[in-house]
Amino acid sequence: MEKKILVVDDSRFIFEEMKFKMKASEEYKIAYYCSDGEGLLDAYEKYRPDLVTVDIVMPGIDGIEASKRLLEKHPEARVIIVTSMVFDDTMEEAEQIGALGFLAKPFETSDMINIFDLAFKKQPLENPV
Amino acid sequence: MRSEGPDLNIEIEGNSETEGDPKHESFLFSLWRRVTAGGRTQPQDDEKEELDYEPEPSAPSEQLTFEKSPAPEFLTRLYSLWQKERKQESNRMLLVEDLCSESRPDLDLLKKFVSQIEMQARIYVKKRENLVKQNREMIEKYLARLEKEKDEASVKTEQGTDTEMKSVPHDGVEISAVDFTALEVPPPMAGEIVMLIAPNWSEAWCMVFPALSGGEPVSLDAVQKVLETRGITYGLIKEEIEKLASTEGCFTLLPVARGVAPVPGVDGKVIDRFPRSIGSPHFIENSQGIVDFNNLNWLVPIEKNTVICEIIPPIKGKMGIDIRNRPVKTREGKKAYLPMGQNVVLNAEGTALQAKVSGQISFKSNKFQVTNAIIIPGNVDLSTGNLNVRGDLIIRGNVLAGFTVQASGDITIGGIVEGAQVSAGGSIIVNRGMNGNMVGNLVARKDIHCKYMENASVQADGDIYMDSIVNSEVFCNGRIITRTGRGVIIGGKIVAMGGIEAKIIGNKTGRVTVLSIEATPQFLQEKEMLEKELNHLEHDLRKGEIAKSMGETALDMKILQMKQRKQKQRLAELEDQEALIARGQIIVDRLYPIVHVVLNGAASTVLRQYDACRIYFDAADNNVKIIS
Repeated sequence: MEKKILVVDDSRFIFEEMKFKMKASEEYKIAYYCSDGEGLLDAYEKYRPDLVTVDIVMPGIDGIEASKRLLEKHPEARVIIVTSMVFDDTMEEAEQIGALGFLAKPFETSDMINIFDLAFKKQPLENPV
Repeated sequence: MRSEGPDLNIEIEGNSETEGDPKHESFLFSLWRRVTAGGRTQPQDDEKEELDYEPEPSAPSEQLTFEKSPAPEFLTRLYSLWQKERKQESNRMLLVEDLCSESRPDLDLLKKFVSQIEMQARIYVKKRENLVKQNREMIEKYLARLEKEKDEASVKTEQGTDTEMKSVPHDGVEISAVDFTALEVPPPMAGEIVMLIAPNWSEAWCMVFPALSGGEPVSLDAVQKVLETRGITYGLIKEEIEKLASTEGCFTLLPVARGVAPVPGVDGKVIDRFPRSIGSPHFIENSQGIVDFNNLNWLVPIEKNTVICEIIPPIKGKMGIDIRNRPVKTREGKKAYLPMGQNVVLNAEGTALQAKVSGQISFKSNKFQVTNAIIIPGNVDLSTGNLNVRGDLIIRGNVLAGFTVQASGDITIGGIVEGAQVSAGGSIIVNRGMNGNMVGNLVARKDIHCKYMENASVQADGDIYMDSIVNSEVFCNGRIITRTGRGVIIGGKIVAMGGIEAKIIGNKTGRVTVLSIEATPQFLQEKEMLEKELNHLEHDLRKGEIAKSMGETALDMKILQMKQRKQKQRLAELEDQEALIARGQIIVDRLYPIVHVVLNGAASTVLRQYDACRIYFDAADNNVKIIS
């Protein structure tokens, strides 16, 4: 069954890139695109995606904070952080809030599909920090 | 007593008995018919009948102009009496225009005058009629007395008394009487001057009623006395006054005095050099009828001192003089309303409104305004189109992809910048950051402050301050400082002339980041252009020196020399800035590989992680050094 992905990234370029790369897999399809962290919660509740990809650096609240708010309300949500901010502290923060994966930009199609697949094998944290 | 008019063939001599008589009432109407029938031609016989006895029910007098309308009734009667006395026939006095001299009062005045003349004529005619009536009564009394005397005489004759009698014809009756022919002639009536004065005493007109039955005619002295009595001393028209005292002056409205009319002032006015529609977006269709929504042409740049409106001053009015030799006030020209809003000033001569500052001109609240800070309350999108602003620009919203924003001053953006082109003569501040989607571009002649920058290119002649720079191409003539927020520089190419400071450079994935401390392309371009211009200037100055030696003006030389001084000064500044490149360094709290570093032409690749390091050019070794 096709899985719906919600992309949260201020870069439309990344959204287009992900859309293009998802064509390699019949399993994933973008359900909605959201350009900032503020819109994440509403978009999630409206489209009920199977997976959410969130950038860290965005206008307004950053992706870590937006994901944290989402997971506090919807712990069942599957969140993957997609960012260039690949540092120990950001990865730790992502893990602490309950993100199921961390995808570094730029990424290959296979990296993206793998991390998505991996996220569906994991169980979302029941009590994220 | 009846008489026939000279050409109308109708009875016109009036008496009190004729008033109310339908035949008499038809008189004016018949005149009107005559006029509307096309002139004063002699009517046909059948017309005469109709004129005399069958009046039309109504007359659309409004079809006539006033001048062409029938002359006043009593004036016509008086005229007829006069003509009859003179035993002359004339077709005059049919219409109002017949009583006017060549210079006619204006229509309103003429109407008033005609009414007054008619009133005077009525009094004059009535007076005569009364005199005639009295005369007639006297004759009748006399005749009655004669009749009585005759009867008494005949009785006496029958009784044998012999009295000598004369036979006097009267109404078909032979009456013997003493000579009373003098009584048949109405008593003499002196000529009369009717003086008409314009309500504002601008002119005076006279009409003379002729003396009747041998009365005393109007003399020149009499006219002058009337003028004097009324206090008319200015603008007397001698020829016309003299004419009044002659026969030809009778029944003609003649100007006797005319003052000098005041000349009203002329209001000042404003001639706009810019349309009053400026300042709000408007669509312009091209020849195919297509509107370019990106270019809504509503921000009209204006340079300082540009003339916005020409001001035509009011013209003063000129006082007049009335016929009593008194001054007549005039209306002064009013000053035009000056649409002078913010940053719009009146020039020293008071002849124009000018822009006080360079900026955007708009017309709001009935005033031209020049603002050097334009505020866009929302996004730069299809509602605003591309913007090109003189002065500062404040955008409260976002700059959407595909739009171009230019300002000669600073640009402040409250939201984000997408794949748009933003160019400022001053600094650029982007509050929420920029993701250029590989096409977005910021260019500032001064500093750039931006929360974060991703997938964009940037040029700044000053310094750059950001929280993070990711996958961007940055050229900065000053320093790049990313020490706030996450303080990261990841990927892309970063060129700065004054040095780079960051918390983190690169990331854990080994993403390649290129850092250079060297002259930026825009710096080199400016320097090259400056050098070329200076060469041209020196060439021109040499030519000027030769020209000067040949006696030509030195004015251009001074301008060239001033320009040369300024450009030399700027070149010196650039050279100083270039010299600092050698001292430029990269200071970073954590450096992740892979980072290519180019300092003062020397290149190095960092392949391992460094904490709290400083990268600089070691002139002794002519190489890049990293110390941690």
